[in-house]
Amino acid sequence: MRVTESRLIDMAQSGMAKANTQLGDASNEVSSGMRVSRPSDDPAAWAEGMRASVRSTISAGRGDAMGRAQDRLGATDGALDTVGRTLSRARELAVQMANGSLSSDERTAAVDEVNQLRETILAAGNSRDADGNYLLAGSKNNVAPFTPAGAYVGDTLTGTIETSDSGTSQVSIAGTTLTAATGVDVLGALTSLSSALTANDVMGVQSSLGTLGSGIAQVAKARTQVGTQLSTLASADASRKSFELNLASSHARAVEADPIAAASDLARAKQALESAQAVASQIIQLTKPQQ
Amino acid sequence: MSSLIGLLHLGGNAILAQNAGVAVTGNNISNVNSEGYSRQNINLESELAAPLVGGVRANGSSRAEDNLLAGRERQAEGAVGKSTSQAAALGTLQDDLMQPSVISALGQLFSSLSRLSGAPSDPELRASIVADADSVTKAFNSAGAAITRARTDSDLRLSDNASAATQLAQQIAAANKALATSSDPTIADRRDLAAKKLSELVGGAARVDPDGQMRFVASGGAVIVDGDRAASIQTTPDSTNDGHFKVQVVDGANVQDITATLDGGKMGGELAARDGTAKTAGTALDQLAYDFATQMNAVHRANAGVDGVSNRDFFTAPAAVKGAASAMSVSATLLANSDELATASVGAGPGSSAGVLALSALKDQPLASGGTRTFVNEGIHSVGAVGSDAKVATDTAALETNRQQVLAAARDSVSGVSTQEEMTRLSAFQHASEAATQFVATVNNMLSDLIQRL
Repeated sequence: MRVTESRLIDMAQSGMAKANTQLGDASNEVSSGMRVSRPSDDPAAWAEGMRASVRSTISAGRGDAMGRAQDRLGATDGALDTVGRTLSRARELAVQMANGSLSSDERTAAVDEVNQLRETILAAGNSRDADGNYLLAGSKNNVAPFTPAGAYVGDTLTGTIETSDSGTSQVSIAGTTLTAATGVDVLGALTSLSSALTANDVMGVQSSLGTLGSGIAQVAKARTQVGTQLSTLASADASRKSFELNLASSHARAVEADPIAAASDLARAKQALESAQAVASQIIQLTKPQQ
Repeated sequence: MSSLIGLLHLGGNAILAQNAGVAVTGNNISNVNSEGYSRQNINLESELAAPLVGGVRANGSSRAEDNLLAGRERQAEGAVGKSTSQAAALGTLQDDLMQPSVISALGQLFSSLSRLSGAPSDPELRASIVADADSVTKAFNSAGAAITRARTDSDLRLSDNASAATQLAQQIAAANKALATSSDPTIADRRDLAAKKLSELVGGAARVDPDGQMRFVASGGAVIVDGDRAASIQTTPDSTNDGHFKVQVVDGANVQDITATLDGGKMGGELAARDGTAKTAGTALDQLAYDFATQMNAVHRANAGVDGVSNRDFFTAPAAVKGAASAMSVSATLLANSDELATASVGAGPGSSAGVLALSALKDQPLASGGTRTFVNEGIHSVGAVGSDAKVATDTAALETNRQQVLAAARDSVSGVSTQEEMTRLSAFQHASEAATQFVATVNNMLSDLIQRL
């Protein structure tokens, strides 16, 4: 085939342009760390990378929700612990005051402590989280769930968060766990004990022992419920973190550059450009008219 | 038997013929870098040898050409023109669709909804949801504008290309007219170059008939040039296609709409990008925006804000599918007051996350693309389709460019000028001219001798 000098120079130019493009692509891959940065680079890989990226973003949102829920459940557990310990102290007092040998004055003297214990439980029942929301109010978390008289004004709805693509988890308990709706009205039990002590009613004090015992068991059960929710959340969070690692791995596999392969490509592209330049130089020398 | 005077005449003709060869060779060297130039060969013919020797004469010059190769190269130009213009248009579009990205904005909104489910009454988180929703609408607006811009840019390029194509068609027709009465190879070169450039714009094929006239037919079959008659290619707004330009071939009173059939050259590439990929992406994006806003509104209306009020829209209800992406916006009252964000079930307190969970659950449901894809997957599919088409066009452009280069090399092997060859040929003519001069001098000496002896 007859090849003219112009064609040789065109071929050299074309070769250098291709080598330059390859060098640009390889440099970009090394500097950005991305093999696929736009859909046309590799449509299937880009789509896989985007899906992984979006799912990872959503998962991070779930992680925040789980973190806040764990904090709130921890605070709820703390409040219930206070209620449980306070009820235990009230029961101790009731056991002491149920002794028939004690005088009326001694029982009256215990009333203040029992009233104080009731205030402690009321305060624990109206505990708030870091955002100022009432922990045991159900969905009505902007209003104190227990009135000073001991009435529950919250509702029975419990909080639920999303923990995975297809799963949700309950992350609160309602204040009804401290009311007669669950068995024992805890605040009412202390009010009754206080009244019995004030009235020097030994039988009344003795009968409160059973109620307080049931109340303690009821609070312990509620704490177990909270513990279960915390445990479920911890497990879901661990799964989420593992899921995110898998997503990161999928994303990396789909769109990120293999540093070694990218560096190797860069070296190869550099060499190709140098070769193309050398060939172009030779062609220019060969096609130069002789003097 | 030749006379000495006759021999002098023969020598003179030889010098003239070799000089003509030098001139043609010089012309070839001069035009070594001229686009579309085909090297020329001097036609040296022996004179009739009567009564003894006839000598030589230069009978003009001829082009070194191969019409078959030239035709194939023109076809390749059309394919290169189409794929490169399509790749460029779609490459820009896909980049514009990524900044900002509807997909990322949707992902961020759903992420924030998941986060909000842990603290539905948190005012900062609620405000961030509204801000994220606003970002989603802006991403949709931007994508809608990008598609409109891409299609409008294609219109502008179509218009420019139509003007250029008309001028080229006129050049071919003018060359046809000139070649009817002249055999000037330069005119044929110019005609071939114009045909090549016209092929790059409109694809199609050019045929040189036995009478030497070129007939150019654009891809799709519209006749652009027939002999000395050239049609003009015009663009006019088409009300049936959102006001985008239709392409017409106008030949006198005959007007032919070739928008749907023109599938080659740069104009074919622009049309494929504008009325194919970009239009499809725009339709899909509008449908996605409409479905997303409608579904989010339905769930939002069924739940209540922290003020306990329900039946309010999340997004301004889209009036129609068409234009939904460009017009999408967050409800003005929600934008002003994030308490309206319906995170709770009706009748529940502000701590209820039922509304948030219901909104968030929409991300996993196949509510887009006629109930076959999730919103995010539909976004990925739509943008990915643009990327796929851009990749196909880019890969095709690379293949067609290689093919065109091979054909250009083949044609160049026939028509291209080699300076080394021309220099060799120049030496040959120079030596022949010198020999002829020597011959004339010899005859002249013989004639002088004869005159002195007489």
